[in-house]
Amino acid sequence: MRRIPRSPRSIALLSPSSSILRPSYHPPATLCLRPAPSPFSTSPKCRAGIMSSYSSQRKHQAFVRKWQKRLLGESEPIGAHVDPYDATSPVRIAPEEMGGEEEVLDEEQGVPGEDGVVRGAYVPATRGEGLERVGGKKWRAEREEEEMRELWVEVMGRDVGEPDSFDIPTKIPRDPQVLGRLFHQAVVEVYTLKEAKQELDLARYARKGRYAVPDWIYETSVHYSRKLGLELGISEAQKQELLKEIEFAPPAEEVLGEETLTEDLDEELEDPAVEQLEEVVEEVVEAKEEAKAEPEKEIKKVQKKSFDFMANRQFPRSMIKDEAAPAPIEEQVIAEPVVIEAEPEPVLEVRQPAEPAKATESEVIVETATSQPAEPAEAPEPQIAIETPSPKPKQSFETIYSRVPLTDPALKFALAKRLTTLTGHRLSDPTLHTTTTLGDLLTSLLATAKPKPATLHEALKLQHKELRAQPKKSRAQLAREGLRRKESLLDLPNVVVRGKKEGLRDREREVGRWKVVEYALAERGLDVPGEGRRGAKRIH
Amino acid sequence: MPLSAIKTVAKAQNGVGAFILQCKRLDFHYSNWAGSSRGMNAFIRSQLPVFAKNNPQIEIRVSPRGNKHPVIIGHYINGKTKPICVRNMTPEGVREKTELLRDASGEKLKRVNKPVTSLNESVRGIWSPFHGAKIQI
Repeated sequence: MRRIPRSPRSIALLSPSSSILRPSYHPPATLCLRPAPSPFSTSPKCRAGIMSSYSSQRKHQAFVRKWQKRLLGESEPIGAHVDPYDATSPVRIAPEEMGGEEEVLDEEQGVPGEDGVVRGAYVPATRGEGLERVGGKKWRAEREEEEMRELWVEVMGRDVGEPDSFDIPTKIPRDPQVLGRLFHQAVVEVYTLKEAKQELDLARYARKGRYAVPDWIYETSVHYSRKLGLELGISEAQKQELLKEIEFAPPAEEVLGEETLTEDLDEELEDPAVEQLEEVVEEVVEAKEEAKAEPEKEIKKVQKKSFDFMANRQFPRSMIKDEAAPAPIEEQVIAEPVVIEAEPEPVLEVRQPAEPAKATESEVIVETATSQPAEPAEAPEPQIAIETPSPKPKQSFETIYSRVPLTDPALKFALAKRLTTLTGHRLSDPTLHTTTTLGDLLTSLLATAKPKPATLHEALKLQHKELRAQPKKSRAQLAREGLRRKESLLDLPNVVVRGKKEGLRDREREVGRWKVVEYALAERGLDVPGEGRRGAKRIH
Repeated sequence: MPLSAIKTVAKAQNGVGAFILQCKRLDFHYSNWAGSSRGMNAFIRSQLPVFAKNNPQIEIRVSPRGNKHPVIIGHYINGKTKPICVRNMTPEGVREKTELLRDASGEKLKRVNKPVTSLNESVRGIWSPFHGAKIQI
């Protein structure tokens, strides 16, 4: 088609009816016979075309080149005057042929082995079998499920299918010394909160009582007086540190970590499941912000919510990050000396302190239970300093705590709850009702933790063992004490106690016939019946 | 042939001269699992040692019998046995049954209709129509 110069004047179509259907550059059939004016329509509609503003290709190219120079500089782009579809076109130069740096991922590079052979390098696949399928609704759902599961594990501290332990330890201690240490820890924690006039129940705080327990707790001395009650031998700094650890609540920004949410494309954020998650997270953030201002209200709010998994965070994010760096040991943590007022009364017994390093601590006076008579009314208030229960026999625990009364029900309940959390042993309600001192509480805990025999036979053997371990007293002494000698069933000559059901073998063996039975069976080539289901046949 | 009278021998009555306890053995069967055996288990732990100490002439056997109610079986000199099921009893109830078995003999329980049971013959003799006040018309 030859290029027809454009006419400056506006030319209307001579035959409007026929030219409507035909393209404008084709002249109508009726006008072929005579030279017609230009068939092009220069009406505003057609004049708006792109190519219509230039008179020639050359001018257009010059226009493009001018702007290229302005934008890209003097160098002429490669694809300016070349055909990109031509095989020999310079546009088709491969990057490696050009000599530029080729980006190679680390995953694609293999690792040279000892024999010098490189293994693990990326090999492009030729077939689709066995390749990972990426994309699609199912893939996305699986990925979201995995991310949600990881979030759950991080927040709740347990796997999805795992049942909630309700803060009760899985390994339940039964050793009296371990239980004594945990009891002492519970006493220090609860009494510290009591002194600070805070909530006594550790489970009501954000951490729910789960924190890194400092070692000095187990070596804390306790001091009891009737006027002031139980006093703990810890410094103000230690007290504040302990309160801070117990009452720690992670700020809202740490709860909502960006890396916990998916940082993918916008289309994933528009997913309804992710939007729902964001709504839940926003609710939690609001709850946490309100909790900062009014801690009491926070507790009620959280309880009203049906499901608030973000609140039960085991450890805050900052703690997880700082796991690798151990906390530096500070010498200031050592307990300051506990000053005990001087006593005019004579000292009955003096014990060495648990740690000789704490020599600045004043003397510790312990009264024995049997030798101390009742105090007169006009005598000054005796201050009994009680020693720390480090590895000591059971008797000393009871002696130490037996003087401390436990009349406040809230305090008693807080102690019992904390003991259940630490030890896994639950004290029954009647037991709690009957305890009046810390010593009673400890005794109840030790009795509850004592392993109970599974069968009556084991209970009888245990009873026999305990009776044998007791010192023997004469009848006269027992009569004076108003007691009767306890006889063990296993010691009596007319009693036979069996741990299993009595069978034929037992009865025959008693009268001496079993060996005859065995001999007769062996003589006839028959199997001797075994006990239980083993053997040829059970004989009753 | 000289005649000699039958020598009378004192009738032996258990308890008149010597006393032999009829119960020679008591078997106590309990269960570790069944709830009906709780009283029995408590009796064995607490009261049976005292009972066994006070009755050294009785052989006592204690053995479990799973999936069954607790039972006490008394064995007697005449070869008979008497079992008593003590399911759901308190330790005191089990103790009463134990003493009952200890005091019993192996004889079957009989209903006594007469007011007096005695081996001695009647002092005044059994009534007959031919002995007594003469009938006067």
